[in-house]
Amino acid sequence: MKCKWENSVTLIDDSIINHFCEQKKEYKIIYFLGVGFDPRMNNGLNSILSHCSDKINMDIIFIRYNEGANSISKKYHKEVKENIAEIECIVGKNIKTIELNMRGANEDETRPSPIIMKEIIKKIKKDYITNYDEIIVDISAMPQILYFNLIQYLLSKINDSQNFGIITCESSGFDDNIKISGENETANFLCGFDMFSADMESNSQDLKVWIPMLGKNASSSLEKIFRFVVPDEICPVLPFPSQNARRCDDILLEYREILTNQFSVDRKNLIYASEFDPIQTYIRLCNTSEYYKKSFSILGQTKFIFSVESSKLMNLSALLAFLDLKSNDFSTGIAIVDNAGYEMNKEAYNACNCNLYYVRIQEKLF
Amino acid sequence: MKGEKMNKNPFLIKYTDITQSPAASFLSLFNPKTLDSINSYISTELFTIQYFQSSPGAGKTSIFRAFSPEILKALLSTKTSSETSKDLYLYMYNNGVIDDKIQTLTISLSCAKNYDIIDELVSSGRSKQILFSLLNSRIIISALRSVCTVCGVDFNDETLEKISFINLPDEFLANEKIQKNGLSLFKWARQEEKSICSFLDSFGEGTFENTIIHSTLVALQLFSPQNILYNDEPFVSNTIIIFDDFHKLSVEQRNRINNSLCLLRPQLNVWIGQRLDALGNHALISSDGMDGREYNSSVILDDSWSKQNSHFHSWLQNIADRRVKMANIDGLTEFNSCLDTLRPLSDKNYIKNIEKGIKECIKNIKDYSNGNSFKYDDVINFITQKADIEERAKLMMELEIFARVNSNDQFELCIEPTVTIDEFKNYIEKKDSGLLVAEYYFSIRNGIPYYYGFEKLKKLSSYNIEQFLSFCSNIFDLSITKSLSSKNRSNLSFAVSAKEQELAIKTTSEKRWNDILRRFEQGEQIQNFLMHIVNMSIESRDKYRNSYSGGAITGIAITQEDCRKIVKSEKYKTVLQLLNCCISARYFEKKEVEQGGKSWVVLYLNRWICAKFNLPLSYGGWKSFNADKLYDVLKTTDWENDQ
Repeated sequence: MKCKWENSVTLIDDSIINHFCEQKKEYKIIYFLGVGFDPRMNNGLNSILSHCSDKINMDIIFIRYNEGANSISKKYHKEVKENIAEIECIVGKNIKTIELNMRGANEDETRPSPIIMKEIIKKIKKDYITNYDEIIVDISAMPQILYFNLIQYLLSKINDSQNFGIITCESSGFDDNIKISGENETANFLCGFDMFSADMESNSQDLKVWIPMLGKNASSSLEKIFRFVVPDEICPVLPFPSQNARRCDDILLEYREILTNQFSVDRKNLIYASEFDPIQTYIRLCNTSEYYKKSFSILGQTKFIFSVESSKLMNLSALLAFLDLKSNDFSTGIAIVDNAGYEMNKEAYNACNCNLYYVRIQEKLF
Repeated sequence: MKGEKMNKNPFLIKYTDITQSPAASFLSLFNPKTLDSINSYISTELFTIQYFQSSPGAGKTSIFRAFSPEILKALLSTKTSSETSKDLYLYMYNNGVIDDKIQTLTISLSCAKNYDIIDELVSSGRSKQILFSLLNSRIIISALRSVCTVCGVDFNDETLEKISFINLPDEFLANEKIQKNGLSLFKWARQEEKSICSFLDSFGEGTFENTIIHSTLVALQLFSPQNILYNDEPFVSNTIIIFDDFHKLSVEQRNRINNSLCLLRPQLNVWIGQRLDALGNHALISSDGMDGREYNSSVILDDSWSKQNSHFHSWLQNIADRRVKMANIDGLTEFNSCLDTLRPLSDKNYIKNIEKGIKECIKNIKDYSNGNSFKYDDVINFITQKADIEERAKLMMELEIFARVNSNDQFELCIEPTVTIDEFKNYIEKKDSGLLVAEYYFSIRNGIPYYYGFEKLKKLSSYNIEQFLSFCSNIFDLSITKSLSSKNRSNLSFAVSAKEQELAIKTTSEKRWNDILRRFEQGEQIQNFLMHIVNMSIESRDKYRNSYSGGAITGIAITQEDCRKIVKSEKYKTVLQLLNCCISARYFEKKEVEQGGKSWVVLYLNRWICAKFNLPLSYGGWKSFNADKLYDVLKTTDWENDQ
């Protein structure tokens, strides 16, 4: 199987600035910025505009999201306001904003509503992006369920002449300090990602390969996903190399009991993937899936289930793998444990440990 | 690959997980005694709709799994030859589920497949159609698989063709593709399911046209024992369809299915498994509110277990021993071997604490002698002469309780008479609990391990198997570590000391306490509310005089009248919400009692919370709370502010 986006590239820090500064004035960009409490929210746009605001033709759209009246994240209202005030100093106050509801009519419901995709379809029309040469989504302060759905939707709407980029300000150490709250009791397939087709009764006898993207503080989620998937084979993906050279060891140490005692993971199944290169990781995930599909073909159909408990870049590779495998008729799904919000340890934030990444998703050579 | 994966610690296999383990593992771990409570629902004559309710981990899904075709098939192959599955085989045989072949066709259907989302994705007019359409196709697929297992044949086109039906429901007759055989039905159902799922995944951008009109659970009619044939012969005498995780459906969907079942009256047994949450607000707090269930009966497994207290505790022993056997470790055959039998109050390591504790008791007894410092001297001397230090400690603590209870906190002008040894002996003899409370008070006050031993582990289960396993798991791990570090390889010791057991229990309790924050959006408020009760309990404990209520208050009680008030009045909405969270997550153990001419709902703290805060494990005292008091407590715990 040829990976559709194998020619994609990942740029870091200064190279991103250079890339945007080199663009011609007629090159039109639309920049979707997720508005949230994460202190890294503005880093991407800030860096680009502070270096090449006069050379770039960019329209910005704020993506605001409502996680529901009971969301624990609501307590970071002040941080969100500060983030908005900071970016408005640079881009002005008249920025178009799209509000997305992540909860349905039932406020008592603990999991994010599947209407998120419906909301995206309804509120982000194709016309929004047709006149642009490049569509950029900044996911630094977006919840996972939102950026997964948004990227999937936009990728399905762009034409061959348009470019698509994802920007994230990454610090896996700080990601470990954002903990989920109000975690659901059971895992489920991620809404918007074939959640019904992945869970059909007629396919319930398929062999299941579970590929968890491992990050820290997720033992409870991993146990729930394990019980939900009931995998025949598990291939955990560990971040190595990583910003913190010991991160991979720390993760193994944290999960040693569940990986060995509960999941009986074979050591040979561990996949080490660079934390900085989502494209290489995506290619490895596709190749792994293809390998298992071939190996298991004599036993029956195989279903590949990803779970995303790692940093944004690592999770992004699982998203790309899912989309590519799906387009190649692989049976796939993304399993997650929904939650009601996030809690952040703001003291752990250190701007020096953050790097800006720009992932250009493309089929042709860059 | 799927198969007999050996877990290094079998206690880590959650009780719910054994529902998905291979048949052999299930049979080695499942305790058939837990089925005793459901004998009457395996009827082949009187078809019923039966609800099974429980908190997570109470064993509902495991009970259902015991009736699945693959388990019944495994039982038939071993019959009574296997020691681990003999009892289950006999149970199934005696209840007519199997004889020389499988007599019951069990069809299982999980309702945890995002059905609740359908209402949000599809317009209300169509959502009912889509729901029944999806359920009908899944019932057919699951049932045909079960038929093949029951008949002992592979699931393929050839065998599906041999399955036939005497009658097809009217709705199916209109569709030419559906014939009276299993293969055509399977092909139709598979296609139907695929089309619906694709439609739902497209978020309304795709299209879907029903091939038949689904307005009810019509597929159930196909699988009544009289209607289904294999090789043109009837092959079962009973059919059970199980809808598990029913609480995952929306309230409206549950009502639709209930109505459909009542109108359809299928000639088979319907079992519905759901969480306590699904009972609804009033019914969750009090059984007084379980109206509208005249047409079917309901079993609350948690209550059922607590009513069979002694049986349940013996099942736990059996469950623990089965796990130990599964670990297959030389020299370790029962869980009790993992627990050191040396009691801390007899342990030389604690001699200093015990002697200091006895001295403190004597001092306190003197303080409570109402001016007559010789009042208890005879009894003190009698106790001091006891050779056994454990007995000495417990008796002295009991004497302190006696002195505290009989003290009126005022200096008496008349010198009180001395208490005789016989009076003290009579007092102890009259007590049902013996010296248990004294042991608890003495241990807690003097830093001596109290939460250890199998009896305590049983109590810590709070009638929940999953909870019991989580406590045993840590102890089992320690036990294995101990044996590995043992110098004498020929005589391995697995026994974990009382201190280590207590530490393991506390660690598990701490983890559960922290999990409240992770699990609930209002986790902090739940913790605060529980802490309010805990503080009240600690206060009552530290008076050291609650010898008749197990040592301390460990719960609150609300009158049925107040329960109704909480449910009906808008003012108490948040009180109701909080109580529901705590009951359904089983932070409270609910009991309904009559006392003082009133009906009460008693909410005891789950026993793991008691272990975390050094509270007694017996179910003794409770304090009455009315609706307004609960409301006030919530106000102080910020619950209100956060809403």
